Amino acid sequence: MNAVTGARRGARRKRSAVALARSWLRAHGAAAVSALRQLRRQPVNTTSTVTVIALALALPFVGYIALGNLGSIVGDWDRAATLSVFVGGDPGPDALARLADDMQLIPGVGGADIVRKDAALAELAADESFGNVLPLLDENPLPDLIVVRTDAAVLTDSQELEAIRARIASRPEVSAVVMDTAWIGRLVALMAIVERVLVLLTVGIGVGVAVVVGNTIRLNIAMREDEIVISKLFGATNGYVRRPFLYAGLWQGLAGGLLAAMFVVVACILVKPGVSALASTYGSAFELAFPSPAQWLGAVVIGGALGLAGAALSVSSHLRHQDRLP
Amino acid sequence: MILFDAVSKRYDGDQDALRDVSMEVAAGEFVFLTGHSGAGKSTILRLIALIEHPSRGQIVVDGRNTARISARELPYYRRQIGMIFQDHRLLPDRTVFDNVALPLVVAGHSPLEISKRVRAALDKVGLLSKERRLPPALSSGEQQRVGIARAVVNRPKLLLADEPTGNLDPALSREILRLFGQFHQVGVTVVIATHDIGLINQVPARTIALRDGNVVRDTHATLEALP
Ligand SMILES: Nc1ncnc2c1ncn2[C@@H]1O[C@H](COP(=O)(O)OP(=O)(O)O)[C@@H](O)[C@H]1O
Ligand SMILES: [Mg+2]
Repeated sequence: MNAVTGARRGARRKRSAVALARSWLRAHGAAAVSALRQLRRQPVNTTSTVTVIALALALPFVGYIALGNLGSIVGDWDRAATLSVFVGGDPGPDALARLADDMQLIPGVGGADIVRKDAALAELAADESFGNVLPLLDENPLPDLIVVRTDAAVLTDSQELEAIRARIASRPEVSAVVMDTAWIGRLVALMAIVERVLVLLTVGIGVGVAVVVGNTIRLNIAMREDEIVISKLFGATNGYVRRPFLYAGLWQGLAGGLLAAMFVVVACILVKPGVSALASTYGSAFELAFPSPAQWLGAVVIGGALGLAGAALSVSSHLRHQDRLP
Repeated sequence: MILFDAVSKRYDGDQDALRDVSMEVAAGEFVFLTGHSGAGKSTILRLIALIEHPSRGQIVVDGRNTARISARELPYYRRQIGMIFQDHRLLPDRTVFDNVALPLVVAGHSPLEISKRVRAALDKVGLLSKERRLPPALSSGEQQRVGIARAVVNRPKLLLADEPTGNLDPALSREILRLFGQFHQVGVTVVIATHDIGLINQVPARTIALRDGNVVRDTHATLEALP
């Protein structure tokens, strides 16, 4: 007896779980579709909201793409700074070698290579454009050169780099020190700042997008006030009333994110030839990288999340008032 | 079914809309609420439907103290009540079918069940042929019948009608009243607020008369027969 009723109760519970799942799906499906219909009924509003979302999201998106491309340029570089140390007078090979050894002992220095002025002149003579001029000189005008490479970590530490430069320059034999790659260090430091600014910008724009969506949803709520009130009078739960608005926010956010990615691709297509031309003047075969699939997905997900958040905020602050009114 | 115990209602700042009203309506009763405009008829219906809350006193509906019904439970409470308004309160941009379906849709019934019950309700009020129309394309009497179909489609225990014949001529009013009589006969408790004396005189039903928020007369007459 007990086993039978237990089994019957179990079956009933199972059936009601299935029924519950089915009615949950039905409720969400209906809300999702009704939200789409509602958005289609106001094509101008919907299009402008989606475009505003897309433009707003495209802004930081372009920033991240630019940053990613710059990062790949900088990443190609040997991550060490080099200093060209010019040695005055004619110290001779032994003194030059000693000087180079001393420099290697400076903390942060990874290596020092000597370029003798004879060798430099020979190299220059091999170059056609200078080859004809050099015989006119009766003396080698080039100084001896020591190329000092720092450790990789020094590159972005401008203070340490400056300390190394000062120590080298303090040697009486040294006539001049030129930092060839200091700009990369500056660029990397700048990129770190830009990245932080981008994060702040993204957060700010995210809030803006949520507010824009929240505002359109607020207008939609106001427009459908009668329907909300009547639905509530006939037993609609708050969840039932909220759902279509949440989906409306979600759809607009997702569409905005997708459109933002498209805008960025169009921007990339437009600037790509220019970037390639610029890179080739530096002897680089650099090609602009387009948004990756992960970035597309990221834009859509972030757009959707912001749309949903904006709608949720709007719905929770504007639907509360209709709880009891006729 | 409905119990008012020393209920007073005062809207913000105003004078009392109801003063110390006590009354009881048994399950399955058919009751008219009458009185001049502003007497408090609509307020009583709104208190029963929990659209408003009493300032003082207790209201018990179907054995439940309405003060203890939480915001969460409210929708489920309202699904047991069918409401009919003088101004119909139909959604003008939804078909007759969709308007009548609303209480079933919000309760999450299956499309098959919804279509079956909506057709049955529309058949009952004689508007099955107009299910695809929009409310503005219907006459006032037809719109009121759509409102009645919507109120009964969920098979509520309690029907509350606020001036249901307010804009209708006597023939249409009789027609509407006949519908309420039919629901009453299948066990539904019916409360009709009206100042239409002509309507009341057609039916020997219990009448609770209000004046300035007080119950001034309660016939307690049991309903013998309806037209
Ligand atoms: N929402 C409201 N706010 C303030 N006063 C109201 C409100 N609704 C009704 N009243 C007042 O309460 C009293 C009773 O109104 P009501 O119940 O609508 O009467 P009836 O339906 O009998 O005409 C009237 O004096 C009316 O002005
Ligand atoms: Mg009234």
